[in-house]
Amino acid sequence: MQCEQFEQLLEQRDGSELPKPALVHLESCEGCRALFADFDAIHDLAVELGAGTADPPERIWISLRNQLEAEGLIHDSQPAPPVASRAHAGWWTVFQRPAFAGSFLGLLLAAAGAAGYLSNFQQTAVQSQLTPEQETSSVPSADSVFKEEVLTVANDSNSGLQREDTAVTDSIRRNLQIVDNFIVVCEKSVREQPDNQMAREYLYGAYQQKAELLATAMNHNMTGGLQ
Amino acid sequence: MTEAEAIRLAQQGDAGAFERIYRLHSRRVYALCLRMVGNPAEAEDLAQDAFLQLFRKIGTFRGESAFSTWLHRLAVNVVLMKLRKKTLPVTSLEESTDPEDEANGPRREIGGPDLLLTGSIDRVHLERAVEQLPPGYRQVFVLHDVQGFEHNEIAKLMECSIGNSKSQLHKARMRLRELLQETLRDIARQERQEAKAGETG
Repeated sequence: MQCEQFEQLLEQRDGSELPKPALVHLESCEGCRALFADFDAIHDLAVELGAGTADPPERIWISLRNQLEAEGLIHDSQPAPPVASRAHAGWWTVFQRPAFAGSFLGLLLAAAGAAGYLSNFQQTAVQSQLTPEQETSSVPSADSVFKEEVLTVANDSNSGLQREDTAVTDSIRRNLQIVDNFIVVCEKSVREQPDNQMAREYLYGAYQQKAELLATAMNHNMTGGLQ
Repeated sequence: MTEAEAIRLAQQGDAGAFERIYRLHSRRVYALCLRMVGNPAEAEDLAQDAFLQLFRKIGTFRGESAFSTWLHRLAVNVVLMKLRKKTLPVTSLEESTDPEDEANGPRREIGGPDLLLTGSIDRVHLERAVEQLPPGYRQVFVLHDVQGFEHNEIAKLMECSIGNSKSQLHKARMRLRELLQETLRDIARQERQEAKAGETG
């Protein structure tokens, strides 16, 4: 057997034992012996790599959980994951990439929609459904922000229908600001990575959400100050 | 909570069970995504996507296969689908992914003054070398040697022939060997320089 034949054999080999001619060749060829040993060394280390060495960033789970909640796939709110005790500054990194900001933004916009919806309800009904809770987690989960948005409207509604309309208007304005900020981030991502389809999808989604917010604003006869 | 209990509860929408499943498998899935794409930001998106799909489909899991196998295949599919959408040539294994190979043929160093890798390289060296592989080589190497898929499975996943999968793996290993030998030479050179500096200092 020649060295080239041996290499071809290695290429086609699928975990099986080497045939006798190959073993004979190995005994007499230092180069092929080294190649064979190196392949074994690489394979052995590769198997070790399979277990995974680094823990994935916690923001994956946070974002995933928000998405699952938004889709209604999970129903039982468990205590926040261990990362909740991190410094407050850490959570903003979640929004540095559009992919992770998507689910959060969706919930905020849902809050805007809910704000408009709630404004049509009786004041007492709103009060009975909502129980203010102090946010103990330093990480603002999407549902807590949602609740805060709704509570803002509910509290404002205590002062009468005129105040209530103001609260809705303010809420829509705030959400428009969030969408605008998100659009800026998305546009930046698309400019930096024109081939990133996900960034484009989020940008289109953000445009669409802005259009829906503007439509909501028009329904409330909001004028001036809206882009 | 055992994995089986977690799966049963997750099928009923229990949030704690979802988290348990995520904690059990996230490291491996993230490592797979990271090694397949070689980019941490993309790997995060892909890992999230894989788990999202898993949780959307978990109600259909009937236990015919091991849960980890099911999840793993799903993660691989997510990564490959993403790569196909992104850049077709990356996964087009019917063509060589390294233009140099087409021009020069496989680099052969048989009989050359090789540095033996056994006992000289570690996981960190290998990880760095894998990152430097052309995407097509890297994917087959990760699927076969790191994740333990068979060539026939890789052929199905990547829509190529078994022969092609074997060929890509062989080229990947040859390239890795070169990269690792370069690393060893660099280390040896550095050690010599340090020794020389020690003598003169």
